[in-house]
Amino acid sequence: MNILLIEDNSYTRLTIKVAIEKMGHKVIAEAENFEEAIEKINNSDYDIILLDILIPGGNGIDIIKHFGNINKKIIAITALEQDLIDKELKKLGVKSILRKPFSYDELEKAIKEV
Amino acid sequence: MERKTQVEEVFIKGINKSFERINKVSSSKWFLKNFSTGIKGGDFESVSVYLISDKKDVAIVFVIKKDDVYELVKFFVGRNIDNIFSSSKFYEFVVCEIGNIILNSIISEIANYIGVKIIPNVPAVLNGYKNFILENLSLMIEENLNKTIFLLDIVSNVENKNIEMEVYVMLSPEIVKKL
Repeated sequence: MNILLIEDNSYTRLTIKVAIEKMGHKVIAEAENFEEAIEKINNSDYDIILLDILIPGGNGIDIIKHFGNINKKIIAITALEQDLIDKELKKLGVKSILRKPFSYDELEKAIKEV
Repeated sequence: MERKTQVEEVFIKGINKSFERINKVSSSKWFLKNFSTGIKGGDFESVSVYLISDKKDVAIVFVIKKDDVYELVKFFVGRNIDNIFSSSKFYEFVVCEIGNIILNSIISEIANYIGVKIIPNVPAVLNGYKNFILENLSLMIEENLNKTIFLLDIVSNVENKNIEMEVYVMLSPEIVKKL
């Protein structure tokens, strides 16, 4: 699987990237803010987006809304655990929500499930 | 008195959710030591992480002594990390993510309890003396906030050593009324 990783925290981005590569997948592109995310969504060849909900310049919900229908599998990664935000993400087509901090197994399971 | 109890319950539920998740991946064990109001005595050089809600009606700060950062990060990430990361920025990123997890859990519990969506800013890290940081933060948003500052004393325990941290929550009168 080719994965687009959108996450602003360098440490978290690195640990996720290491885990993904250990699973045999590839991080094809990375973004750490809203503008980069839009650019990478438009110009990268990926199967899954790992999308942090709180990023500089906007948020993950706005990114999905920006595209209307990204037509890709999205896994949200967030420390937020709000009922209304979860509902909105599901309504926008997000396949899975991973709460931070998540384990290697939880990430692997989410990728397999989508 | 009842109102304080309700606030306490919401905060404790929120912070415990974050500890459940952190304790799954960290080699140290995290727990809440005490809940009270006001700013705890004793100033120190800190690394602090804060979030402010989009409507500026919630401000929340995670404070750790600068001297404890290395130890905290070592046990959060794993001991073998020393050789891989030498940058002091790396430690800041980890503290930022720890703060992000804890603070967003509390904000989420407040949001769920009162039935609204609260989207905070991206967590920001400040280096400096605790009281200076808290004063400046409350000045940034003072007009929207209640005078009561809630304090959660938290502990990360590893090998019989406790690393103590403080979390301060400031809420607008409207939010306090709903809790």
